[in-house]
Amino acid sequence: MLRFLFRRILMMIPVLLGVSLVVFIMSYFTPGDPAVMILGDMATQEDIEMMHKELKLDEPFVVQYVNYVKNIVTKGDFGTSYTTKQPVLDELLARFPNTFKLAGLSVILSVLIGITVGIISATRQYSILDNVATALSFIGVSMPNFWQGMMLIIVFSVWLGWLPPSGFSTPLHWILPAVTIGTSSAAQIMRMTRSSMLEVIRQDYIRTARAKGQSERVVIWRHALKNALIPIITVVGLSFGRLLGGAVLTESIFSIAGIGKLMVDAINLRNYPLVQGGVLFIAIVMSVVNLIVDVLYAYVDPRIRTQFTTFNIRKKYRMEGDRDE
Amino acid sequence: MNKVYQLLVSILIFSLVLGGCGSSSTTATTESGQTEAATTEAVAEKTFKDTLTIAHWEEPATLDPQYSNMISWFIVEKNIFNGLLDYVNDEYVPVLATSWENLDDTHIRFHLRDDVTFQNGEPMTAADVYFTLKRATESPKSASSYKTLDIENTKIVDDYTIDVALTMPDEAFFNTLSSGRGYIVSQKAVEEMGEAEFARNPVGTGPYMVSEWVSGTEIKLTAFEGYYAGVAQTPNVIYKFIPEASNRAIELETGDVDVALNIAANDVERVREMENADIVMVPSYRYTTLTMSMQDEILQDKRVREALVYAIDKSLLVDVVYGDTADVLNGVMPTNAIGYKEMTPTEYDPEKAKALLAEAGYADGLTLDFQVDPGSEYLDIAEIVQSMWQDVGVTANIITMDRPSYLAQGYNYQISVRAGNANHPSNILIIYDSAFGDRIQPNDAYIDNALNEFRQIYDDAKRKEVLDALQDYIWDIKYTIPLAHTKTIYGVSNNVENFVPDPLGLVDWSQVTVTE
Repeated sequence: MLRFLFRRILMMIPVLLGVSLVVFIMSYFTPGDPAVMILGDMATQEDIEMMHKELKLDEPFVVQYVNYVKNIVTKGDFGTSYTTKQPVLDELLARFPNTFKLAGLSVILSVLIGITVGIISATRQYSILDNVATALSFIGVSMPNFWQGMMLIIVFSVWLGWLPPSGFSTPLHWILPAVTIGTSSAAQIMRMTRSSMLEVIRQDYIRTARAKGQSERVVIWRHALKNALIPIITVVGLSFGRLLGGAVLTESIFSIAGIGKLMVDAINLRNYPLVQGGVLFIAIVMSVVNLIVDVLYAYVDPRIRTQFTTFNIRKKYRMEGDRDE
Repeated sequence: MNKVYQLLVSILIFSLVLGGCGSSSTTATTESGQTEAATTEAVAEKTFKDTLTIAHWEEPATLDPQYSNMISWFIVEKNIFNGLLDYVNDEYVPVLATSWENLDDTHIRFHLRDDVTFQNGEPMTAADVYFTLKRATESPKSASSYKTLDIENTKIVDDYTIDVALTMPDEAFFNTLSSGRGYIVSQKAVEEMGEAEFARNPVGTGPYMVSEWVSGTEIKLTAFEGYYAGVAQTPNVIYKFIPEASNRAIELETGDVDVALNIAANDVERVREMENADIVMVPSYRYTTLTMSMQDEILQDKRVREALVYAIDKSLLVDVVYGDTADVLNGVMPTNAIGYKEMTPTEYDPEKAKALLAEAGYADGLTLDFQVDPGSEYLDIAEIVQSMWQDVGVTANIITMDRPSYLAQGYNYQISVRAGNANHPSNILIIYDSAFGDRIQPNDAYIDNALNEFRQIYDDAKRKEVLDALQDYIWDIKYTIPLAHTKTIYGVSNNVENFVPDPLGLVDWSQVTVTE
């Protein structure tokens, strides 16, 4: 297992190098001049040249890229934001707790709703409950987040006055954004749980479990759900990873200082260091989440766990065999 | 489904309970205030909140005035810094300077107040003024505003006197000093902290200083006890950053903020209907205008430009786009700009437009590219103009793209919409200057000369003469079609007192109070 982890972490290095190069090339060739964006359209040519020097944009592409990677590797320095002059890493870390909280809360909410409803739908396939849940899930998936967010604000902040309309400072502020995002991913998880459960419920071992007199609850929650979990974990992992990259619309509507809005603003201003640093950061977060998901697979499913060990055993034999030759 | 229902209900109850907790904890803190209010009501006295909360539309990237170029940043800086002088009721009034005199055409002597301290406790002296001016010439964001400043020959006379040298006579220099780029910074603070740190924790002479800056969320200011003009009335000011315009109105309605800046035109009615707040509207320095490229062969023909003007029903356009949040602009500068001259409006006359087009050889119609900068009301304007022009046979292709790509094209477009935001003719009319690489590029010798000439005249009457002639010329030559002069719109809670609106939004909060 440790070997597996180590290998996976090693594999992240070429991935991140690739990501950084692609982002660097893309930002280099995207139309738009950061100096013009910073100075506005009242800038004179001299101002712009002054700015180019200050931002070191007058250096050749390769020099810029090599310096960038060198600074990250040797100093952990992701550069400084063009607009605020603050270290990129500080800017990202200042926003990350909000994004992490929002992603975490929404995922918890969506897992609670999604799995419960999904199981109920699967066990009572084609019942009224199932149909209602399916219809609701379609609404949940297709309802745009920004619209739902606005509606929630109007109802719970303006009409009822229960919850604050924007911000993210206290638990009260967390509810509306988390519900906004949570409901749409809940619908996704619900669909996945339902289909995955339906598949498992028809398996022989479920019949066996029932035959040996297990209560229905144990059959569903222990025997069936555990075997149906792999695709659900995949969906949850993906949506968690995606949310950690920032939920731009929801962040804008609720004025949450998260990664998503930071990145969009950075792109609009051609704030390259922040865009590059942000993409790298998201790539790292995404890799880590994927890694956790893989580990979870092994934890949930003994078959996958043994694959790791047999893989290692096989490898050991092969190495011994090599020595013999 | 029962379970789901239970879950939903429990979430609701949970939120209710939390809601209850939240409000109870806030009452705990304000309880004393409320009881006080109850008892003092009898003696007809008010209690004031210790915090003024303002919904701001955009977070500043920096609070370093010489490295700022956005109104939204100066709005915060205004309360942290002071300039040497200010422009109030059509004249320059002393702030940190007590008086000034022109030694000759290019040398101005400023006498400074001797009782001003910076927020780090250091006294404000001529050295700080010199330092501020010097760094302004070195900043890409300020250098062009200070292009006439001769820093080499600017001399500190004594601690409270400084002789500023200019490379040529420049009346506009006073305007630069009165702007945000003229806010005086503490030399010691900048040198000790470094520029990056100073940008986050600025040290000025103003009524407030930064106590906390939560990136992307809010900036908290706290009153500076040593403020030379008297400690601010409300001890704390919070700028909450709420980019969504409708959310700023909502926050005002729910009472989460006391003032909302930059209310959108379509939220004005809504705020007016609120019981706890109202709209305060003043003419801004912002105006919108259509620009035409003089590098373009079709548009070089004055008859075509005139036809395009006659084909626009300005009052209808302004009414549709802005309602009562803007006025039709009959002049080449905002009506409250220094030296504005009102012009005779061009009548809406589609027949005349058609005739002029036919005369110019476009009887069968004409197609023009209309580039629209994303954001604000530009697209609305473009679409209305498009349909008005269609009536006289001019087809406008509206082209939209993201702002960086738009700016990267190097201004090669036939028609576009632009908004200006300044009150001094040298900053407003600069768009007609050949040296200015903007979208008009008229290369007009008369304009270039006049622009260069008027700012060198210190005598008000003489300057007005040149400036009036220049405005007449620009109005007549029609490189642009001025459309609307917009208003700065504030949403203000009924509890806010002593609020004095500013055309740019640069409100001094030090005298403002909020009743409980």
